[in-house]
Amino acid sequence: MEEPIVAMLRAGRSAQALDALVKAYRRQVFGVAFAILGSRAAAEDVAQEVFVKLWKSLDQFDGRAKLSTWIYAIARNAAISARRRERPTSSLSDEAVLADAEARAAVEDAPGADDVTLWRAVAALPDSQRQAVILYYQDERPVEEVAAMLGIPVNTVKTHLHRARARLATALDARTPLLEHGT
Amino acid sequence: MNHQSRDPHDLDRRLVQLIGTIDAAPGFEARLAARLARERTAPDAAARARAREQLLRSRSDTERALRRRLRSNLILIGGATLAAIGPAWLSAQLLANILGALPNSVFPILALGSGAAFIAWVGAVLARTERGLPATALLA
Repeated sequence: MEEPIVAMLRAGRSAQALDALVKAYRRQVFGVAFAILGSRAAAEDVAQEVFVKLWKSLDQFDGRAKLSTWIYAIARNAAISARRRERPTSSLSDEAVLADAEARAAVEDAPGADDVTLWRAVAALPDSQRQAVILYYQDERPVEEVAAMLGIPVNTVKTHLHRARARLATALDARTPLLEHGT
Repeated sequence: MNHQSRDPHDLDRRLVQLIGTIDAAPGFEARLAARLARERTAPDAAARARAREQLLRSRSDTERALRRRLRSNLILIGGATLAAIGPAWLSAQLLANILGALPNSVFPILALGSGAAFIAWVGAVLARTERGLPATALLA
């Protein structure tokens, strides 16, 4: 998906390139911002800021690095700056995801209830593990892409995911006796 | 059913289901387009503000330069006057001694006259310099 956008940029069609860029990278940019900030509203602000920055600097893209690497770096830096600017939100307090999980709990009974527990367990993960988990599972991305998004080595992503899965499984198992007792 | 959480594939599936919902709220593109439209008009306003600021700065620079030039000219003229009166007075007295016939009232008139001539000469030099003309012709 990168080549056509780069071709548009080389042809000087910046407006078209930006449209294509937003379509192709909206979820990734939002994902990076959300993984770092833990709030949907803050992530949206940052995602918009990132695309505005991209629009302003598209002409400066020289094609030496991959377009995605460039975009992820801008997104990461914008999110980190936003986190420094604002007071830290309560860790991963995204109400929309929680509401979604709770709604599923109401309709599907117990599996949804587990989703609430799962979401709380994801929220309780250390930052680096939580970021890896969110970006990996948001679109079932390859670990290589998650590594590029976070700007860390592939093996580090694998380690974060491995540790995060173990923690999440423990958190879910810890809830089991209570449910079994209750049912 | 909760034993499913011990199954890593089930955990993966549930994480995908849960985290896959994370995306920008509907209408993101429209909100972005509106923001970009605002950004597109913002540079014009910024450029106008910059031009206005530059104009004000250049005006105040010109005023400051004029004031500085006037001050230095006044100092120069004042200094030249003081410097011219003394020698003119002395030369007038010397001339009177030689001639021995001039009345005393002529001395100050001579002194003032030569001082005024000197000031006029300095003024002419300054005027030529400010117009960008070489002052050497007058100095010669």
